[in-house]
Amino acid sequence: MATCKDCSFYFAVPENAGDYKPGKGDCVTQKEDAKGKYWLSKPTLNVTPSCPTFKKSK
Amino acid sequence: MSATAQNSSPNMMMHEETGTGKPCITCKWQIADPTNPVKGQCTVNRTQMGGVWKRWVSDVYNKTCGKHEEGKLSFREHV
Amino acid sequence: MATVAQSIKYRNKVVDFPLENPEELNVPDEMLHENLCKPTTERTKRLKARCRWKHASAGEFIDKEVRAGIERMRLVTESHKATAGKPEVIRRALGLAHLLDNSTLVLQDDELIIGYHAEDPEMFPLYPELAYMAVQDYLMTDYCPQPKEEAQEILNYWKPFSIQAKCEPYFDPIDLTRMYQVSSMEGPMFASGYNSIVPPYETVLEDGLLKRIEMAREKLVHAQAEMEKTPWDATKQLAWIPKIDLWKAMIIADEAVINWARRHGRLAKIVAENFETNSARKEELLEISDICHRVPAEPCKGIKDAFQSKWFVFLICHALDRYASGFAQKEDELLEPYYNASVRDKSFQPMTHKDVVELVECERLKISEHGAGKSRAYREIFPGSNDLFILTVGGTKPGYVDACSDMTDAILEAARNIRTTEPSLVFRWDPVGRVKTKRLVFECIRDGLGYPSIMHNRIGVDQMKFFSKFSLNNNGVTDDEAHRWANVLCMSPGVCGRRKTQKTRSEGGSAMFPAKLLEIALNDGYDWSYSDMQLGPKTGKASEFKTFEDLVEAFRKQYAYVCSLVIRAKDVMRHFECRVMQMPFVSSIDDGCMELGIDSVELSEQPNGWHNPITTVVAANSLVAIKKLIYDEKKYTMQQLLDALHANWEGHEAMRQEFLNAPKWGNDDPYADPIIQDFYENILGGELAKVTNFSGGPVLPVGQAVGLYMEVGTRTGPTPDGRFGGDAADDGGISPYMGSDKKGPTAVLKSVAKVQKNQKTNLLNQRLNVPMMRSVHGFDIWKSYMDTWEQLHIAHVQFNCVSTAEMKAAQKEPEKHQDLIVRVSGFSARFVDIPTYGQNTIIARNEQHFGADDYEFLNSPL
Ligand code: SF4
Ligand code: SF4
Repeated sequence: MATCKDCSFYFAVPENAGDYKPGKGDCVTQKEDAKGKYWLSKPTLNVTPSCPTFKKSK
Repeated sequence: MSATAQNSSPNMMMHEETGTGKPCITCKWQIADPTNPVKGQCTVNRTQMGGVWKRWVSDVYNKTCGKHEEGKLSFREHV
Repeated sequence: MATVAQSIKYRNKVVDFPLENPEELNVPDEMLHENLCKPTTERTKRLKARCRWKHASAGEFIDKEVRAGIERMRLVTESHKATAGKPEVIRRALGLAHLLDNSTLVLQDDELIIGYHAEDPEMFPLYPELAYMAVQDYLMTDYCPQPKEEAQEILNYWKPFSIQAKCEPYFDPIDLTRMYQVSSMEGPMFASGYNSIVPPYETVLEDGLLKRIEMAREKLVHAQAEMEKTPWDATKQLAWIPKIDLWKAMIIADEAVINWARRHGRLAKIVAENFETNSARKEELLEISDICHRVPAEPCKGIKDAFQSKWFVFLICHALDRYASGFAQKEDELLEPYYNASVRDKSFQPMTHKDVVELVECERLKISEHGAGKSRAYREIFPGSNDLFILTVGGTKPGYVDACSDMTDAILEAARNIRTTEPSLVFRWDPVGRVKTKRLVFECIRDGLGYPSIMHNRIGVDQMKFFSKFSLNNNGVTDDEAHRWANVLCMSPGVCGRRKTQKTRSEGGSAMFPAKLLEIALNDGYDWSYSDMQLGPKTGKASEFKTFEDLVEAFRKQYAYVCSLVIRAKDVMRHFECRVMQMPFVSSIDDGCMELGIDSVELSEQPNGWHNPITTVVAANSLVAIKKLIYDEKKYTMQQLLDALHANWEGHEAMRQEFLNAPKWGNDDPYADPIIQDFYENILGGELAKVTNFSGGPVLPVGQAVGLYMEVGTRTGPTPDGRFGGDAADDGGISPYMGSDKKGPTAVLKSVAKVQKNQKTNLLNQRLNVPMMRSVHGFDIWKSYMDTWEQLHIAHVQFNCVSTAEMKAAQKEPEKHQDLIVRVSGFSARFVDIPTYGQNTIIARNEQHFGADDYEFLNSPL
């Protein structure tokens, strides 16, 4: 089963970051509504099962 | 509509009626109490200047009056 | 065609009033405001066009997209469950850390200052740990957090732990019922969660959080060594335990804030490198990323650092750690060093003055879309606005040196250009203030923003010194520190800076309502018109009052009961705030808390107690009418008056006209003014000053209003000033009642200047004539008015400068008047977002026309 790790919206937290934990990443997605474009970042783990927004990373 | 309580008939005035089918909670003139969500405020009385002269509703489920109406008011009709 | 003011004869010559900008002659009166908005850059124009306003009116959000988020509730609850058993202050820090580590971050297109406090830019967070009733109310609305079942479960979990549940047992249930109605007094904060704070931004901008962490570490090492000293002395050494916990909590909180800011930095970089296609915006995002990595961890080096660092601190103090209204700061002095670094010296983040104006506009728009999860009462009482966001500029530095700077000007220019209702500005008027800056203040007012509201600088400085005398640890503000003050919310000065600032509204804020209290004083404490219950103590049948003094005494008793009850409610809350609502982050950035190891809600070095009597003028005018017609002239009996009031004057119109035409406040009237002066100074101020609050100081009245004059009017029956039940119960603070100031602007000033003793401040609304203000003489007339006001030692004044034609046009076609802003009372509102009745009360304010006598009194140089 695909996990966040394989998703193009998954960005691993760098090792030198204060909130670094092995396998922790930022899920960054782009949104748009009538008032404009914005991006959301949520913490996730590389082993988390993929969500409906999943897009396979190249 | 008169803003005074005196010159209305008792049925037109807010009164207790346990289990009423037309409780304040479903009335378009009722809005929530500023603090306690199980109490309410009746906004049916209008002043000459277009303001609202409110009455406190101590029990939104068991109080009613003859002016009960279904629906929702727009913010413009409030104060 | 624009209206031009009529010529007048003044000092033996005819003075004409041509418009200062002749091109405005072609702009019709009713479209003026739509032609004044001039965002400084294309970016701020775009940002304003897409602004996610969060205005509320009549208790509801105007934009239907606005809704409560669940994320904050969920995360603080997870942490609260997981940390059971640890010291409370550590739990509070861990709660904040869990929230900051796991919350969703938002970055919007075009932004220069980033950061939001909920999981979506249309959302706002809720606070189940504060008032369970306020959250329950949200769960019954269309903007309830989703999933609703989970929100209800979270609320049920918190109910026994909430600050409301902790406080309620210490009050008689009857008192609670009375307080919750918001008719004779504002509901207690423990039932609404409403709050305000003055964050000590200075330490974060100057030191950076890494240094604060270092300081706390040193304190811990020292404390540990003190604990271990021999021979053991429990009377001294046990005192280190809570301090140790607090310093540890500070470190947890500060590290979490740094990590959270750096998560923002990562987000900006990820967007730059993976989503953004515009190369200029990519560059901007990379710079933002670098800034968020450095601040608030490190000291700020340039103006961009300062805006971003300040924004992060704002979000923590006002929205994430707990809710607090306000945007209190002395912004010009706070930012001046960074302005100088970037604009004057160009040593870091080099830029022009105009670039700074753009940044201020960006900050204004951030505030405009900052959602507040405030309770229903507060969604009702600032109609047409978002929340109370007020910052202060101007005034003096130690030695009465002018504090106005180019940063002050940038803040004013941005406000004038972008035209948003929030944040509101306060300008501290001092004779030494530079004219260039006063001219910008004038331009904002002339353009109808309703702000800056003006505060008397020296009254504020003296007030800081006065409260300092009551400091419980003899460390109130010094004479120099007394110059650094800003309004905590709309009206009340409080100290700013690295320590001694106000941390919670349980110190000062909130209201009580004399018009309603007079109504029940006339009815033996019974409220016949709104709640149909005994609302205060039994103070006797009015028909049996033999003298006017008997009536005043009954009122005094009703008022004294409320004074002690409301301040007790605040202090009981403060007691529990100290135990379960500690603020380790705020403590870490306050020099006093850091030094002494005392949490910021508990440590009160500078008392600043105040409470707002609102609807005072209706009560005062009513007393005057009663004294004249019942006790002096004996034209009517008290019983006749009571009968007329209970009939809402119906069938008593001739009598109402007499009460309506009795002398009224604001006309420099020799009969009314001494009665009203005594009422303000000896009853409203005198009774309240008898109270001593948590901080050891007296509590003083701030006569103001927010939207409560309308809101409380709806819960106040007919009054002896000739007012009908339900009508507005004030026009804000000490302002004359709508339309009752008939003798012109200088008579208003003369009346108001009489009230001096036992006051903190009093709000004065004035409506100025648009053609006069936009004429070539506008600034000179206004400045001479302001100089006179200053000499008369009046604490406050604010102005509406909007034509009736334009307001009426906006009522007809709201969609065409989105930029029309009006001053309601302590805040400015978008006119089209106010209920019709509120709009009518503003239209009904007397527009002050200056005559030759007024110009003479003001010594206007025409
Ligand atoms: S949560 Fe969904 S969108 Fe985000 S990284 Fe995982 S799979 Fe991708
Ligand atoms: S109009 Fe009658 S039913 Fe409706 S809220 Fe008022 S009292 Fe209740």
